[in-house]
Amino acid sequence: MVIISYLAGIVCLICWILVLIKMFPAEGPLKGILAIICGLYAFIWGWMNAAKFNLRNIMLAWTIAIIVSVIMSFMGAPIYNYR
Amino acid sequence: MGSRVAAASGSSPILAEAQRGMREPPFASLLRSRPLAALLAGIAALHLGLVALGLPGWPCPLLRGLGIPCPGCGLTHAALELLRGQWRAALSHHAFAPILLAALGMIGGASLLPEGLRLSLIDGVERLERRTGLTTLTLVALVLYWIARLTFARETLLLLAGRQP
Repeated sequence: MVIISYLAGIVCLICWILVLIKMFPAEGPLKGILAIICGLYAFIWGWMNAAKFNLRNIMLAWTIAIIVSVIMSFMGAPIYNYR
Repeated sequence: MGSRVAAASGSSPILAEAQRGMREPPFASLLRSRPLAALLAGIAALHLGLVALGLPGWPCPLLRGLGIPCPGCGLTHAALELLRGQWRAALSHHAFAPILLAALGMIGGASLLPEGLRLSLIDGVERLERRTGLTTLTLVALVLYWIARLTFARETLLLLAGRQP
C-alpha cells in the first residue's frame, strides 16, 4: 500500500512536469510559474488543452494517480500531506 | 490568428504564442475564460471544503512526488484560518493567504457575474495589471518567500508537510 502511494505520487509529479513543459512555451513564463505554484491550474489547463497539445494520455495517467492517492489517503497510507 | 500571422511571416507559432503570453496580463486572461474560471473556482471551493472537514484534498505533485513543499503549500490551511479570523495561525501557515482569497473571489466573480459586470471586473483587473505589474510582482514575491522559507525555516516547513527535518 505504501509503495502504491509513493508510485502514485511519482506519477503525479512526472505528469505535472510534462504539462509544465508544454505550458511554458504555450502560455508564457508567468502562467507557467502560476502552474508551478498551483498544480490545480496546471491540471485544469492540461485537460482543457489535451487535444491541442496531445496531452490526453498524460492527463488520464495524472487523473488516475490522483484518484489512487486519494484512496490511499483514506486507507491510511503514510504520505506527505500538508498539515 | 496570431499564430497564423507568425507562421505566414516564417517565425515559429509556438514562439508567437509565448510572446503573446508575455504581453497579455496573465490573471486577466485567465478570468476571460468563463469555463476555466468556473472550473478553478468550483474545484478550489471543493478543495477548501474537503480540507476544512479534515479530508484529503488536492494532492500537491511536488510534495507527493519528492516530499518537498511547493511555493503554494500551506495556502489552503492559511486561507481557512483566515476565514475563521485566526490571523496569527494563518500567517504561520502561509503569508499570502489574503492574496489567495482575493484572487479566488475575483475568479468566482468572473465565473458567476452577469456579462456586463464580469467584463467590468476583468477590464479593471487588466488595467491594474498593466499599470502596476502586480501579478508578476506577486508571483516573484511568492517564489522568493518559498526560497526564504526553505532556507531559513526549513524545519518548520518540513514538519508542517509531515516530514522529519
